[in-house]
Amino acid sequence: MSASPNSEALPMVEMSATETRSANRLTLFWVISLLILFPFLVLLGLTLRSAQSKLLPADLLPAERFYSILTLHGLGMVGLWFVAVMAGVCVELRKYIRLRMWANWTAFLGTLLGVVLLVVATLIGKYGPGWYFLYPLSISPKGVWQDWATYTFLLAIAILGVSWSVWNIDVLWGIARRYSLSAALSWHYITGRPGLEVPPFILIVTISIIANLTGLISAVIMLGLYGLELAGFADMSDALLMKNLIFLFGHLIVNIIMYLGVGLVYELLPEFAGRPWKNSRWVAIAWNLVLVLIIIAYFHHLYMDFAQYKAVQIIGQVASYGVAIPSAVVSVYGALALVWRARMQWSMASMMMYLGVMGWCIGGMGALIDSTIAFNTKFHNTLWVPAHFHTYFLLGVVLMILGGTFHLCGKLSGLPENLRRSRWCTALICAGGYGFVLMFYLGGANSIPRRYAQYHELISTGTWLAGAALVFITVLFVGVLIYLWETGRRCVVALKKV
Amino acid sequence: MCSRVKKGLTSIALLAITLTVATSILQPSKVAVAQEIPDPNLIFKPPDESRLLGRKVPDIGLRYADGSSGRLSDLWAERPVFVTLVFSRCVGICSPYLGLLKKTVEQVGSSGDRYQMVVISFDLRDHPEDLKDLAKHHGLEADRGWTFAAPASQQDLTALCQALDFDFRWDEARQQYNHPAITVALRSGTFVRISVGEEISPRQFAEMLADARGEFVPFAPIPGRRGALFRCFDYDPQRGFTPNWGMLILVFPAAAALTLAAGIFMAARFGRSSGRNSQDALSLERSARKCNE
Repeated sequence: MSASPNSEALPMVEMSATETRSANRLTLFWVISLLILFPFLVLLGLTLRSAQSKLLPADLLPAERFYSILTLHGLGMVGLWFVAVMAGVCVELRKYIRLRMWANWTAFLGTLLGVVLLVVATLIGKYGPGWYFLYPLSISPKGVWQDWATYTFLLAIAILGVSWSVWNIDVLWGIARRYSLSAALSWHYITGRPGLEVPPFILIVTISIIANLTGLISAVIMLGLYGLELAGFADMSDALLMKNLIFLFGHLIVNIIMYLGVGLVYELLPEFAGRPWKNSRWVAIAWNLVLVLIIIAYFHHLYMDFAQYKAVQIIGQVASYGVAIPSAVVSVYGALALVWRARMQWSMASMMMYLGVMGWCIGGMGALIDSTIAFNTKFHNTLWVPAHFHTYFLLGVVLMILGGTFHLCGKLSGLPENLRRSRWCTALICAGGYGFVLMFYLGGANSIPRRYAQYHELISTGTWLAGAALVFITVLFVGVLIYLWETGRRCVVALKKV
Repeated sequence: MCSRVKKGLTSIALLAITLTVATSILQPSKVAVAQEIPDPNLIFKPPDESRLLGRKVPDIGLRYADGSSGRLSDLWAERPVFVTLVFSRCVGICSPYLGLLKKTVEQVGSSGDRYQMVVISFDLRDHPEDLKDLAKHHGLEADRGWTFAAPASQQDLTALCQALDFDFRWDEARQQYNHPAITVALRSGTFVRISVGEEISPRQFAEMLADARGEFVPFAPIPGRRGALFRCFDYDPQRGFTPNWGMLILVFPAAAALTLAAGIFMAARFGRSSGRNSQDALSLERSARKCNE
C-alpha cells in the first residue's frame, strides 16, 4: 500500500514521568472496572439463557425480572465496551497527541456514577424496556416498574452522555491541535497531494469520534423530548421519531465501538508483526466512506416500520452494504497482508486481536444478511439478531479489546507471559463463544423469536437451544476466568509500579 | 495536578467501584426483614393475559339474580361482555372491587348499550337471592347494563374457571376464598383482554372496551391525530406519506456533529497560529515547510 507522496511523520509526543504515571494509573482504573464488570455482565447473560432453557424456573426469575436483567446486560455491555475501547484508544493516542487528564477523569467518574444508577434502576427498580428503551414503553411501564426507576434510568443516561461527550470532544480537540481536519481525515492520501504522514489510527479515531458525536447529539434530543413529556410541556412524542433517534444513537455507538477496536488493531498488531500498517489511498477512501454511510445505515433497524418512507428503507440497505464492505475489506485484507509471512509473535494479545478481526468479519456477514430487506422480513426479531451482534461484539471487538488490555497490563507490569495458558484461554473463549452464538444462529434460522423470557411448547426448539448454549457459555466463562487471573495479576503489579 | 488531588480522585474512584459492586449484589429481598410466611397451598396464581389471548370461553348455563336462567352466549351475542368473578360472602376484595368497577363504568359510560357487565359468582353456595342482594347493595339491581348470575352447575363453574385460568383457594381458617380480582373482556365468546388486580382505571377500561369491540388500539398515540410535538411523517390513505418537521430533527445531529468538529479544528488551528501551542505548531510548520520544498 502506497503512502502519501512526500509525506513526513510528525514527531511522537513526549510526556513527562509524572504525566505518564498519572495517565497509566487512570488507565489501570479503567482496566479494574472492566475486569469487575465483564464477568458480572456475562453472568447476567448466563442467567437469561438459563431462564430461557427453563433450568431456572419462572418462579425464581419472573418475566419482569428477566427483562430488567436483559436491559442491564445489554446496556451494560454496550457501555462497558465503549469506555474500554476509549480508554485503550487514549493510551495509544498519547503517542501522537496530548490529551487532558481531567476529561478522562470526568468520563471515568461519570461512568461509575452512571453504572450505579443503571444498576439501581434495573436490578432494584425493575426497569426493563430493553437496552434501546423504545418510546413509549420506557415511560409507560403499566405498573411493572415505578416512575422513580424511569427517572433514575434517564438520569443515568444523561450523566453517561455528558461525560462521554466531554471525553470525545477532548480527543477531537487533541487531534485538532496536531492535525488539520483534512490531514486527520487523510484527504491528501485520496487526492495524492503532498502532506503529513497520518497513521491510520488517527484517521479511524477522527472518523469514529465525529460519527459518535452525531449519535450523542441524537441522544440529547431524545432525552430532551422525554423530559418535555415527563415535565408535562408536551402531550406526547411521535413514536417513529423517537425510534429513529434512539437507533441513530444506538446504531452509531455500537458501530463506533467496533471501529475504535479495529483502530487499536491497526495500531497494535504491527508491533507483533514487526511491520508497519501504513495509511494509503484505499484506506483513506474506505474510512471516509464510513463517515458518510454509517450515519444513514441505521435505517436498517426500522425496516418493519411501515410508516417509514420506502425510499428511506432502501437507503438503509444500500448504506449497510456500502459501509460494511470498504472498511471490512480494507481492514481484513490489511490484517492478512500484515501477518502473511511476517515473523509474528503470537501472544495472547496478538492472537485475540487477529481472531477479533476475523470474528468482526464473520459477525458482519450475519449483519449484512439481516440488513437485506428480503431476509429481514424473515429474520427480524428472531434469534438471528442477537446471533450476529454477539458475534461481532463478543468474538470481534471484545477479543480485540481484551487483547489490547492484556498487552497494556503486560507491558506496565513487566511480568512474562505463559504462552501455553494464553493459548488455552484464547481457545476456550473462542470455542465457547462460537458455540454460544451458533445456538443463536440456529434459533434464528428456526424462526425462534428473541426477547422471550420463556418459550411456548410450540417453539420448544428455543428451549433446548438455550440449554445447549449454557454449555458453551460455561466453556467461555472458564476462558474468561483464566483471562481475569492473567490480566488481573498483571494489573495489580502494574498498579504498584505506577 | 498536586498529589493530594490525585489521592482524592483515586479514593473516589475506588469508592465508586466498590459502590457499583455492592449495589449490584445487594437486593431488597436480601435486606428485607423476615415476614410471616403464608401457606403455599393458599396462594393463588393470577391469570396471564398472554396465555389467554384468543382462547374460546365455554358457553355455560347461568341462573340470573331475577330467578330466570339462560346462557352466557345470550349475553355476548349482541355486544362485548365484561365478566368479573366474585362471591357474595366475601369480606375482602369483592365488594370494594365491584364498587370501583361501578365507578369506572359510570365514567366510561354506555354500559348496556355498547357492552354488558356480567358479574358471576364462583361460590356454589350463592343463590339468585344472594346475588340480588349483592346487586342491590351496589345500587345495580335495576341497571340493565349489569347482569348478576351464578353458574347453572358445578361443571359450568369448572369449565369457566379453567377457560379463564381463574385460580381460587378455600381458606378453612378464615372461611373465605383466596382469589384474584379480575375483569375479562370477551368478544363473541373469545377472550380479548383481562384486568388483574384491585385497580381498573377508566382509561384502561376504555382500551379494553375498544379492543373487545374490534377497534384498533395503538400502544403509542397515532402521529398526527392528537398533536405530537414533532413528527417524521404524516400518513393519509388518499394522499400517502408526507414528510413533517420531525424529519429535520433527524438531520440535525449529523449536521451539528460535523459543524462542531469543523469548529473544533478551526479553533485549534487558530490556537496553533497564535502560538499557544508552540511545540506542536513549530513541528507542524517545519513539516509543512519541508513538504513545500
